[in-house]
Amino acid sequence: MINVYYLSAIFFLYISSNVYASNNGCLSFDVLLTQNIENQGFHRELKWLLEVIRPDTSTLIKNECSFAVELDMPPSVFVNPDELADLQRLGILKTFIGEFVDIELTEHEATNHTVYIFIETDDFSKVSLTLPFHARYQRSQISGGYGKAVLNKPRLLVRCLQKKEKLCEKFSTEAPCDFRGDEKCQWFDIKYKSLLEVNEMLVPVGDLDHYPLVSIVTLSIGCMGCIYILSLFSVFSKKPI
Amino acid sequence: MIMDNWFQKFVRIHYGIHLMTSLIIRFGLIGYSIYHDKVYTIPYTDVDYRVFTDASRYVLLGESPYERHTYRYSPLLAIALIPNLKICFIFGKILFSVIDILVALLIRKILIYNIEEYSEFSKTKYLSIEGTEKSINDSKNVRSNHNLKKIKLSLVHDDTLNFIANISIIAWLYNPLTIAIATRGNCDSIAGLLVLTTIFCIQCKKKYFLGGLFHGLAIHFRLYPIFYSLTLFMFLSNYSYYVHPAAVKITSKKTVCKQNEEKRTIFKKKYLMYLIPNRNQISLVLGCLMSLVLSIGFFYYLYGFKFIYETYLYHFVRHDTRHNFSLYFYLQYLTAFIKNVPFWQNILMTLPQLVLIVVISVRYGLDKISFNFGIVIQTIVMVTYNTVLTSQYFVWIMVVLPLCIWQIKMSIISAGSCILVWFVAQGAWLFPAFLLEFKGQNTFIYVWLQGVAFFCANIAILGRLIMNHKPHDFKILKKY
Repeated sequence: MINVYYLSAIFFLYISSNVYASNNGCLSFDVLLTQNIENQGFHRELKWLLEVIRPDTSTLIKNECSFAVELDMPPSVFVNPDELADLQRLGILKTFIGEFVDIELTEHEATNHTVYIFIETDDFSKVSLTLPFHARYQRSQISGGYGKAVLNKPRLLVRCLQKKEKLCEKFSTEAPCDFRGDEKCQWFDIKYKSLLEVNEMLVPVGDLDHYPLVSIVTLSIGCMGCIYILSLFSVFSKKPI
Repeated sequence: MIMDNWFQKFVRIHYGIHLMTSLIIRFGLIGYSIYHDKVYTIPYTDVDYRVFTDASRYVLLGESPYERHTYRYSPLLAIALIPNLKICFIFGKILFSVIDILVALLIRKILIYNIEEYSEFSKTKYLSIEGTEKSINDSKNVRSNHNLKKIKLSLVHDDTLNFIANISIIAWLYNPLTIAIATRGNCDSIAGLLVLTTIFCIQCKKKYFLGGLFHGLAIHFRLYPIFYSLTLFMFLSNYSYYVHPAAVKITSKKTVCKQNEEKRTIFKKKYLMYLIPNRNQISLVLGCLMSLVLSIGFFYYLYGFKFIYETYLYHFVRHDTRHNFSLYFYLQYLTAFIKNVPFWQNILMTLPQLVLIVVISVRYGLDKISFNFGIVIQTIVMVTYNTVLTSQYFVWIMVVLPLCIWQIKMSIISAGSCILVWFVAQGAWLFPAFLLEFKGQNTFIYVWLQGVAFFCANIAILGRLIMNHKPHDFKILKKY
């Protein structure tokens, strides 16, 4: 008898806690984001694994929630708008770039730009994303070596169209509604747990110690080539007498 | 031997069939490009092709094509590619492929005209030279008579002409580089077409004003043909000449010393006379100025300063520090952000190519039979010394090179080794460049060293071309 009472009490508590949670209108998120940088050199890929542990996918779909990743690219790196347009066309990645990106500039001439990656999926429990990006050339320095490019931490945004359950998050922010970027919407900036964060890469930099050697050899080879060709003209002459 | 036979048979196929086949190859690749771009993430189509199309979109909306970032071409291109949006996305590629065919036709026309005109000249003027030689030495005369026979035998033959013309158009039509350029949607063959049209008008049709108009248009379109201006000007000079084949034969053996003595002076006052224009030269210059001023003025009126900056000024102020084949890449990168770069550095970077271009212009521009060869080596100098060099620029050479293949007398082995050296030098550059770009290793110094090696290879090949350039030696023509 006591057991039955006990069980029913537990059951009641369980139910009430659930009811309490939803009554509070608070849809809280428990998200894990794993970030990795793949490839080497100037052309890299940012790999993300997004795992939405709570709430479950059905709740998200019921509330018509959508996620977006907002990443602020520092001057040392850039995303190529043409490349992203290609991925969009192939239906691989839906993105929007907030600012104009000049892909030809070097690091210290460039400015930041923001990329929004919109996540479209039926299964939020595990979403993997790949964003190709590129390192910019950096100013050459004495003793050469490598320059650092540090990526910023991405922001995870969420927005639910059906307001059946309210979000617990209070920090709202403005961001484009979708990859077209025509309109701005209210998004909620949610906290997430991040794992194994690699956010830094090395970029080869020109060595100013090479300057004397390079300038002397380059310029003299250029002149020698010219002199050699001119000398051939005088040896292999075909002018009429 | 069997290979040789096969090759001969292949070349002897009617040129119309070559044109059709190469067009079909191009269309096939355009078809493949549609498939490839749908399936793979790395597109077959060139980035620039989308840039052109986007620029066309702006034109269609009544805006400036320069609204599209990195569009640095003439607005004419954006206008010509409007059907990309209205009819079909691949319209531009088809246009470029058809232009390739037109280029081949022009190459053929110019080549046949050159050879015929020169053989005509050899026949008419021969007797007078023979006469003078006769009085000097009888034994020489025998040799000269022999030459006359050879020229008559080899040059009147239509078969030979066709054979040479076919080899030249094959070198253009089946060149993997030109096929790739057209089907990936690169516009460089248009500039080539304009350059060849200029040469065609001036050399074959003797329409100097028209030639000038096309030359101006070519400069408007791609800027680099501006370096041909002096060569074209010299070609029309009163001082330009033909060298008689027989005269070359005799002088090359007997009077080398005498000639060398004459050559020792670099500059003569007489050379200044070359610059005084005659009627033909004036019409060339007027034509050129007219089309340049009209096209630039018109588009400046439409699109303002941004047009001038993006199309022309950008090429002078650009600081493309990213690694490329150029000899000067690392030097430019190292000094890109240093404020007090010594002024002589820039002088030493530009002077060698300027000197070479001027010398080649005068030397080969005046020599009528070597004019086309002059254009070719000028292009090679321009490309080799360019401060930014990517494989796209090699098309500039490929367009004009077929015009003078017949004048270069090289054994198959040395020609093959030249080509091999060229490719090996490029491949050797690619290795450190790959480590730098895709593996993130600091190999700048090695990329630079390979750039130096590639430059030396280019200069060496250029030297071989000059050494083996024998337009007066008709022996090779008789072989076929």
